[in-house]
Amino acid sequence: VTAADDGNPGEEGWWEELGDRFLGEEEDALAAVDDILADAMATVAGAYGPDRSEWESVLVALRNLLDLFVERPESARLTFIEIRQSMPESAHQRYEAGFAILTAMLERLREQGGETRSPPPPQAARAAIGGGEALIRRELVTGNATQLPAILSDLVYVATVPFLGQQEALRLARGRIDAGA
Amino acid sequence: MAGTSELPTGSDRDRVLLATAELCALVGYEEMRVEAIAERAQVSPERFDELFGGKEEATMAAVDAILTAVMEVVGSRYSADRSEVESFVLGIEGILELMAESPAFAYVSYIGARQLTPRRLKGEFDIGVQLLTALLERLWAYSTEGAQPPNAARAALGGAEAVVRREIAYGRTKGLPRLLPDFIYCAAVPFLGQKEALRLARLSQPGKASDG
Repeated sequence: VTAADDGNPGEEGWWEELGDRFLGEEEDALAAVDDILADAMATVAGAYGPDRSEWESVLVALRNLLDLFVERPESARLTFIEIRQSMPESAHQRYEAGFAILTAMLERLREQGGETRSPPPPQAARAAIGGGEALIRRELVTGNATQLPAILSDLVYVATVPFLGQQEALRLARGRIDAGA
Repeated sequence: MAGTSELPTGSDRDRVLLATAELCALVGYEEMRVEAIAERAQVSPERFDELFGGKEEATMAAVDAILTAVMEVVGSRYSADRSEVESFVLGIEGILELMAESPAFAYVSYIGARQLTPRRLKGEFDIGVQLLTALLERLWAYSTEGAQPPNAARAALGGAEAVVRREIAYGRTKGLPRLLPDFIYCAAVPFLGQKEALRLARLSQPGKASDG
């Protein structure tokens, strides 16, 4: 029962502009969503490389996604807040498809190690993505898009702890802090 | 186990709340009309006006009802003769059972409410989120790790919310209790680590959690 992060627009002028730009025209709105998701997917894909481990790639992808949202706060708002509140169903389906891809990428890490031999339960990846989503949404709702990099260490922790356990997740999260994130 | 919750039944007001939740799930908040709520609840439009005055007020009252029920069911699982962690497992179980027993209220709180005017509802949800977050943060006391990422509890709650919302959106609300071990694991692992979270998840498999 936790929709607390779907809050108020930070600036009325921007909100009206968003309405003019997107809400009146479904096609325009869908195009905007497609544009954001395409950029996000390209950002994530670009983080993967042969010289990085799977986990390292995930961490780089998280950092790059936050940078993308900082650069384009209006797009981030549209993606994380507006779609859920008043966009057409087709836009919401695109949004879910984007998260399904991110979830699948985390699922690849299921066998990558951890404190136990037992793999985490099936919903762990979706919950990890949803947890990060909630933190990002909270920052956007309160008009703190520029502060998103400050939550990187939290995002790293919530994304990794279901798979690697506390010690390793904390080590990776501290690494983000030490790296200046 | 969810029988300790107090969702509305019986009175005009209760029927209006249920009708509001059901219609919100069926047609969405924007398409929902006061006349349709009144007809479904078998009250006159005048009686509806006496009780709520508008669909936003009725929807907010429906959200309040389930927030209250969630707090009741969680509170009832905490008791002096249970460990904190055991109470935590039972609390999550209670929330899932409550949602499964009340799919319309689950829908209005997780999905329909997002379509409302955010300004009016934010305070309502903030209270619920803060209470549940505070309950989760108590698990830090049982962690063997000194460091405590400040947003772990909010993230754990958000992650559970994402999974619940997806199940509700796909019409699988009644199956939520089957996911209890997954929820237990995801909520516990940031605080207690993998081994303990897996142990609790196994403990929470059907027929085990409520035995303790």
